[in-house]
Amino acid sequence: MKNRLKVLRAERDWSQADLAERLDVSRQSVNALETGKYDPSLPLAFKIAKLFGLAIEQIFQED
Amino acid sequence: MIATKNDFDRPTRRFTGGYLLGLGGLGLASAAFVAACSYLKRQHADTIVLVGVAAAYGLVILALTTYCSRMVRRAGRLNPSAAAKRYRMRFMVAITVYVVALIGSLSAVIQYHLIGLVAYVLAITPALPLLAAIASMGVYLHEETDEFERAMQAEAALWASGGLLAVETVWGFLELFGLVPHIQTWWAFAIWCFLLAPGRLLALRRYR
Repeated sequence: MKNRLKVLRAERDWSQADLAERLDVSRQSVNALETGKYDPSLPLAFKIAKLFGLAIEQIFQED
Repeated sequence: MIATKNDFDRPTRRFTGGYLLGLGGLGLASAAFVAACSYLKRQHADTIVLVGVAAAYGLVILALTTYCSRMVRRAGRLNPSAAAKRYRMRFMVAITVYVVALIGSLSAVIQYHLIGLVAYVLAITPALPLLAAIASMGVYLHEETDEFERAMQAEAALWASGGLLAVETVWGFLELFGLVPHIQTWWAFAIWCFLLAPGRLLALRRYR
């Protein structure tokens, strides 16, 4: 699954560590999410969407 | 600015070296312990000497466990979660209690030549803290709020379980044919713990 996490994070001038702290996950998790190698669960996807004030489909798209 | 540094940028060479050192140290310490026990038995050494040797072996195991735990941490996340910190604390307490219980039980059984129900109870006593250590792993998986970390730990446990089954199966047949000495089953937990670290590396390889 593709996602816009890296761009959204950059727009807010957050580091991976900043985003990880806001999501209460490890930086490894953020890296795995950003690179599209790990697909988040629905609860985490909702948490991410809420953090950026967007709908899930505005952040995550099918390959 | 997009941060480019992440956990996967760090080389795992130090981890691998440290892990192999820990594994080698465990092997050497165990071989030395078995040789020392065999020698002392032939010499009909005093109980206190045997207990001292067991205590020294226990301390070496404790030090190696601590060391390898740090190595695993370095290969993992930079800032462990609260659940991970609690898990490490519980695990280390369990291992420390195990060492004390093992030395206490061994010395009591040897010193007082205990048999019957008391001997059974004392023999099981060192196993109880190890059961607590196993339970602490399950509690950690339940408490970990980072789903990616939880998935990695669960996959590492699966790799370790598969590795342990493979080792035990091959060793069992080698033993059946009289080619290798007998290994006591309590080693299974120690082997599984040591297989967790490479299991974690295998689990993480897809995300590098």
